[in-house]
Amino acid sequence: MLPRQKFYLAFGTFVILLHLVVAAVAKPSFPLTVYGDASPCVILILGALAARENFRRSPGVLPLFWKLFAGGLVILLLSQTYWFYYDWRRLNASPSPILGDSLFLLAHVFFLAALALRPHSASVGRDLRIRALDLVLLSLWWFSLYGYFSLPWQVGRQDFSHYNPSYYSLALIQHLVIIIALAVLSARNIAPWRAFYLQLLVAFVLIAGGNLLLNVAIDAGKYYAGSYYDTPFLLAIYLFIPIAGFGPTLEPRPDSKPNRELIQSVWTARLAMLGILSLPAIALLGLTEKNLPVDLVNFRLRLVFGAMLLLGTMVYWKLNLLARELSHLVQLTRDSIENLKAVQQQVTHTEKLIALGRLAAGAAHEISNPLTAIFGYSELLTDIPSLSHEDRAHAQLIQQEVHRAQAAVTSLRNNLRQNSSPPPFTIDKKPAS
Amino acid sequence: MPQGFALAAFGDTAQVALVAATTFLAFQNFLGSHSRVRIFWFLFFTGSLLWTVSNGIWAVYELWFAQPVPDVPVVDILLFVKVVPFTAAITIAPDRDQDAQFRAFGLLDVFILMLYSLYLYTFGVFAYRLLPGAVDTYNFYFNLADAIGNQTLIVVAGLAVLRAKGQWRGLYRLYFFAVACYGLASNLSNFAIDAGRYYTGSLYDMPLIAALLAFACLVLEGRSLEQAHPQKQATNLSLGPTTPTTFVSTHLAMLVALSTPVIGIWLLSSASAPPELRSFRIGLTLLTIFLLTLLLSIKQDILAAGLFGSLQRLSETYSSIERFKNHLTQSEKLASLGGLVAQVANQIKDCMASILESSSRLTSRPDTDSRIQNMAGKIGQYALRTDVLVEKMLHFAQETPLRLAPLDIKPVIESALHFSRIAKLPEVRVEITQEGNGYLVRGDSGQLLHVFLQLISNAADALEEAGGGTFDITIRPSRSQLILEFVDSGPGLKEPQRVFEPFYTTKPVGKGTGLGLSTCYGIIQQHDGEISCRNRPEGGAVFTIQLPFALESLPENSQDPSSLLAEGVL
Repeated sequence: MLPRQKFYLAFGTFVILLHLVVAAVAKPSFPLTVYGDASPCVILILGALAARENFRRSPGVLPLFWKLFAGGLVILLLSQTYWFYYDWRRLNASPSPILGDSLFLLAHVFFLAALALRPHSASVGRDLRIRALDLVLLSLWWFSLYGYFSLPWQVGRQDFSHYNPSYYSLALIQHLVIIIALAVLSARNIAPWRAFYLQLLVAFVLIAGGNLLLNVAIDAGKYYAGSYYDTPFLLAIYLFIPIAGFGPTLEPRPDSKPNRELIQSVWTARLAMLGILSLPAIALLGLTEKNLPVDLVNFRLRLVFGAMLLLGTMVYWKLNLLARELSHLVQLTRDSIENLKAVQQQVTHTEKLIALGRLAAGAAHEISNPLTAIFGYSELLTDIPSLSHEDRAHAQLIQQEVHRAQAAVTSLRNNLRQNSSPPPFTIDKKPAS
Repeated sequence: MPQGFALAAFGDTAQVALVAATTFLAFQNFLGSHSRVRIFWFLFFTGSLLWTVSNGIWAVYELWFAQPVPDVPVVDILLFVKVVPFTAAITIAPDRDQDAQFRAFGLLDVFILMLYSLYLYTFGVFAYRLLPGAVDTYNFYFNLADAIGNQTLIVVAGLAVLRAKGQWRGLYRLYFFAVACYGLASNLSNFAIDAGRYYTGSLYDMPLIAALLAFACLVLEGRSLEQAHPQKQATNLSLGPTTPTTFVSTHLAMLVALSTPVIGIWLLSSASAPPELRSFRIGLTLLTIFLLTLLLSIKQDILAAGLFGSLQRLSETYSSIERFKNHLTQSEKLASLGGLVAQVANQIKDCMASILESSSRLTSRPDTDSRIQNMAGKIGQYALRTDVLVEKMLHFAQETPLRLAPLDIKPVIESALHFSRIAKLPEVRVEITQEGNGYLVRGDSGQLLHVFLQLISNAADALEEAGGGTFDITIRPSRSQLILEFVDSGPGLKEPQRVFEPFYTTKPVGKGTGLGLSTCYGIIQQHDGEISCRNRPEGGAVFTIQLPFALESLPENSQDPSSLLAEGVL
């Protein structure tokens, strides 16, 4: 942990302890409400600052991971600030929860995106852009669901009895997805990543539980800011500070199985398409639902059509990207096959040279025999006394040449004998003559 | 013939029979074709099947229920919808060859467009069926949609005529004629029906009969086309998918898919339509969006699978290149030895050249003594023999492109045996048998010599390990190929299926490179031949090489070194 992170952690611990003390003694009052709304904001700021320390120090995809992580914390902070603002200005006349709630959902989208980067893996794909597009698709789909199920109950009317259950279940689903993802990640990885993911898991279980508790308490009218109902949520976001402190010790490592990243990106894409596919299906099912106000039905249909237009445009873009990527890869493959062919040809040639060495060993006596014969005949020639001066010169030239050739063969043999270790050749030991 | 039941019966039966025959023939064409053409016939078949069904229903209503000019919605739908596969059949461009992967791709686009036109029809025309008392509006829109569909088909067919070449052009021309007749017939009969003057078998049916006949001719023409259009793709070796060209249809399909939510938004904001029409259309639009998204998902998956495959192929190729490069550096020393041999061989050739010159000087002198003549002649002969041998070795080592020439294979095998140590091994019996004579193959003697040397050297190793045995080489002809079998009685191959893999070796480290047989495999492939291996049940390995026969005959004075070898110079 870096020195600054230690400082943030100490500060955060102080805030938590203070909260525990205050919650025990204080009675519900306006200052307590302001205090209770302010303390999560302070802890979130500390968490984001602690994560910021990791931006520049980490290798590979990790800086991006920490940026998304910090981004999630900042958005959570915004959502908290929204509530703080309302309570502080005493605008108690039931504020519209849309902004705060959608920010809360969005923050978790950031956390999910950070996890989808697979920060523990050293293999960073070339298709980061396409995957980012898939993630954006998924988040848009997610917000369409919020817009479809929850939003219409708040737009134009304030029907919390319909809005709250749908929003709570969406938030719960989102938390469960993150928790399952973290469980899988911690099961698949080894230290220090396992400990890191496990801590995140604990934090998100706390957030999910705390959030649920908070909402139930609010609906039951038992909640007031600054009470013990705040504790699980505060503890959860407090945990993010030591989690950020893990940063300097984390290093990406190679995947245990090849192509895992590719497989994951294929499945992300399929998931995104499945999500998009679900929207018109949900709308079709919604058409069969009777007794809904007309404006609500229209709002939903407009939302689905609008979302489909937006998502469809993105899918169009993505398909184009995919096609371009594919043709690029095909070109690369073709080039590398050409390259392979050239290398193969070179190897064939080398193989032939090697075989030639082997062949030469076998053929050495085939060359030596005729050379000996030529030498013999030339000696016979020089033995003829009537040989003219000029002819004798020829005969001697022949002898010289035979000597030269013989020397070449001998040197070759010596070379073959020395260099072939272990000797792949059999050398004819018979004397040449 | 007067208007009446008999005429109607005749007219209906004739039409149904014609269109049913066309459907049947199209189905036959579909079964007998392949790749793109197959899809063409499939779409054609679908179109004509829809037509048959609609005409059949019409006939049943008219003859069975005695309803002149029946008004059955199913008939209308089928009648309109059949235009879509007919158009699609041309749009997939069956006359062009394309890779399987992108064929699936284009087909998906066609499906999207088909779905969309169906949607538009249901949206704009069929919806009025649901409204009570909107028959006139319905008829008007139906005629409009029908006309638009037919005009589109005519235009598409016309463009195809302009674009296509050869036999396909004739086919498209017939297609164009048929759809033009049909368009005329359709307009005419719609007009006549609305005017109340139509009856089955009337003169208004004449263009329709002409169109039907043209369609039937087209399918018959397609039969002969199929035979003249052999499988082109099978022969050309493709390394991977060709670069995907961005088709107009791809973008069109996407734009069309994107237009559906826009239509949905428009529907919601315009309140003029009657409520039941509006809700029907909204439901329809949602359903279409769902189906279109489904098709797009499939498309995306195909692309993703392509990417996945390409990436894997790429990494495989890269790793083979790495291994080959690695091998090249490792075998540098051995290869330099081969280079040395080549150098020495050149030196010997120099010596032989000068000996030959001297000996020819000696023999060319008329006044010399016969003994000198004789000896100088002998010297010349030996020098020539050495020269040929060395030349042979050099030829073998050269990095020459493949020179395929008609070749008698037996001498090449004999010279390989000659070079090899196998004959000198103790307790080893080598035998060559040839069935028949004078079979020539197309081959490069240097390259084939390499192959034989490799096989013989492997056999020698095997027999040495076994402490002796037999090595039989059989040359026998088959129908179009010469079959060579190299059979040894050694211990056999450990893994016959892996023998030709690069870098596969069973020899101790440093002895075998594991590339000898894979190089052989490459060489035989270049000869359009095949090499395979197996173990004999009674023990020992069999290598079989098949080489295609040469079509030309062997030239009389062949310069092929192997033929010199065969003449007993060695």
